[in-house]
Amino acid sequence: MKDKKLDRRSFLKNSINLGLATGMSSSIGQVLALLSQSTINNAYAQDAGLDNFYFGIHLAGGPSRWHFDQVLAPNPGDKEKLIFNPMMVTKRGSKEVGFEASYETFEVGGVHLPHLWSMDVPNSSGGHSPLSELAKNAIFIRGLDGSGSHPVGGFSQLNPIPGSPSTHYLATINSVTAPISAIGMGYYASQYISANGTSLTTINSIDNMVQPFTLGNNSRLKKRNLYSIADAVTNEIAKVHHSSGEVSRTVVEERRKTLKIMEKGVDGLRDRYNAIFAKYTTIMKQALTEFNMPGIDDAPLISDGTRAFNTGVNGVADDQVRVGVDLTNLISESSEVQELVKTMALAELALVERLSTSVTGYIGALIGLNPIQRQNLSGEATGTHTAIMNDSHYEGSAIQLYFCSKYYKALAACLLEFSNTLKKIPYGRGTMWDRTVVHIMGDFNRVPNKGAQGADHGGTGTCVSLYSGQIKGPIVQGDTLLNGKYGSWGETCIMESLGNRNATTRNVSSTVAALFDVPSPFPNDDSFLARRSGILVPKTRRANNV
Amino acid sequence: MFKLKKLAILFVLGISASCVPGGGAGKGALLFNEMKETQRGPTGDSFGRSSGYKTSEVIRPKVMDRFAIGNEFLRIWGDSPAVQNQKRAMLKMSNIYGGSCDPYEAAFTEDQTLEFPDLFCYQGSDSWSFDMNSGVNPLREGYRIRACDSLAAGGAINDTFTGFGIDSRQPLNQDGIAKLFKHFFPTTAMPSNLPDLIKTELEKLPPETGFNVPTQNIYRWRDVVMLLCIDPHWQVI
Repeated sequence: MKDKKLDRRSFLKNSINLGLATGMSSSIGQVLALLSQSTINNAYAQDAGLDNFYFGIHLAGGPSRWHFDQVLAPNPGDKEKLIFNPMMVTKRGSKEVGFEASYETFEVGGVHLPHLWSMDVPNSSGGHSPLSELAKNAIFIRGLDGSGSHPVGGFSQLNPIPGSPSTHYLATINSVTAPISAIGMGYYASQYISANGTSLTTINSIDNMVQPFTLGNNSRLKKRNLYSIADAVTNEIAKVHHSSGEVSRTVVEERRKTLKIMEKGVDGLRDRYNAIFAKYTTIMKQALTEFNMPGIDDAPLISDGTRAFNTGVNGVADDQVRVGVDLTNLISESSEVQELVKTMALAELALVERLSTSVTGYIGALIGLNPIQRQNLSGEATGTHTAIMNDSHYEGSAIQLYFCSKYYKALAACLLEFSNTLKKIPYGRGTMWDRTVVHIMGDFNRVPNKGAQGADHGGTGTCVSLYSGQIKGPIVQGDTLLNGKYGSWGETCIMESLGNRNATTRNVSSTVAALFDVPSPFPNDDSFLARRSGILVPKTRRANNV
Repeated sequence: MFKLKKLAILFVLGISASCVPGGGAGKGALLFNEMKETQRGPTGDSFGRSSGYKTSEVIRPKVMDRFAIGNEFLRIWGDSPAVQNQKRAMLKMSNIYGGSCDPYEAAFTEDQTLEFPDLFCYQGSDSWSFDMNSGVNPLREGYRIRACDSLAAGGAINDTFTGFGIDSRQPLNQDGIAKLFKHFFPTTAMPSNLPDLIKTELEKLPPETGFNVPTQNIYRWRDVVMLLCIDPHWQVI
């Protein structure tokens, strides 16, 4: 009798989901795709109780995102309606001296993404993989109404309302095996607030990770194997100490985890880290130094001293790349995306080795370039610099398109490698990638400045992208203004589907919560994804420019 | 019965939502109900900690910051170069033990040289951003346990034994263990079975090779101090 009821219930629920999916999708193909995805996601639901994994990457300084994950024209016909601004370009024209460019897209699964997503990126096997593979597990969320200031915009990505549980805490709620609740690298990662009294552990290097657990040869703990006696003694003290109760349980548990790591030993971690570090170094270097990006680096890009080649540094607005300098000669063997390799390696090590279920890192500027010679408006030499900073107020459209495309290609190649690594690790009824969320965020997006010779803080057009094996993408969510102040740059607007409110990072937090199948810290701010019988579907209609 | 009725309503709404472009009110209601149904509470952990976002009921452990724990180490272990080194190491770790940069530790001496140039204050602007309370996590616990282990393995412990009237060449005894407990936990009543538990468990361990009997005893006493030192409770405020 009981079984009969369950069957009817599950039949009805499946019927509802089928109906919804049909109503919300634009093609039968998408419906079928969603249904095939249900196998994975039903497995997810049945595997409840396993760990979730979070990897947040903060783009420190807030680089422009139009070239990567700020999707301006997701739907067929959107591109033609965009109100153009020279900063929002994704592909160069054929001009070699001077600069001409346009907003070009690449279709993946019926969604029009920026041109970069048509590229192949290097992988750890020495070959290349299509970046569209990563898009198939992505949701791009745009038009967020966020802060336009450093560092508040960055903090609010992880901690939308100070004092509430933070986004990088969500993966740790059901954590059952990881000894370290959450790991954070750098300043922007420290906004960790949990709801169960645990704290974030600051780790900025492999030394930070292994040193506290490394015991010397004279260690009494190790020599005499005191671990279990220590637990017995502490259990007795816990019964009488004034902190007994919640506090005592927390400190005892954290100490227990620590002794467990020490007992197991950390000798192999450094070797493992070095191997992962080398893997990502190779990928990043190749992504930067190879020239195979059509419409980006496949032909010389020579400065003619116009505003598109603005390269103001230290607040100097009127410097350009010297006339005759070819940008494609500026990336060298020593060029790198600051902290990218370290962030990827620490995250992969910590998550795969189950040291933690939540890792948040950051990446900085594109550094180590061949000296960029500058000139002022009169053509006089004004010095050189060797980095493109992310806070690019005075970097012209040619500079931003070229260097940001290289920058994001390196990031995306590492992300694809990361996802492929996790896809190979069985976990529950799927793989580790199915239970992982990668969260790409910056301080904010950027808004073209007056005259389009750089881009200022675009807090009101903030965007993020999330990647997970659970996402059947690409999905684009969040409406933006078609007629923003400087064109269709991605500015936030009121969304009827969100209760006539602007989307914010609270909605992103709710979306991450939906992916982890845990309650959102912000129940009044809807997720962009909803789980129906295990199937994750967009909760609102497709993103529009309005 | 109620559930079936509710699902039937949801089913009807689902059909209507799927037929109406853009959804409408029916769709909104469905989504709201669906969300409530799919959201489940966290399972909590083996200690039965918080099973939801009841932040007001959650107490984050308040533990000593780098200044306090350094001084507490000094009190417990006594003043010696080894303990001073441990305290100094703790002072350099705002990020681990909590305790933001203190402007007074950044003071210049009269000849305009920095008094403690290697302290954390000079590691960048981050050093000013740490809370006084770091909370407890394995990284902090790892460093704290290592500090205890280092002092227990070294000679620093001998003075402590002398100060308590314990002859560490003699076998473990309950009175001595009780004295040491009181030293670590001056305001906590000792569990009555603790001295016996420690004594029994340590005496079960096989003797260390190459040591004579008095030395074996010294090391057993060191292990007592080690066990008390690595207990997480004494650092709780």
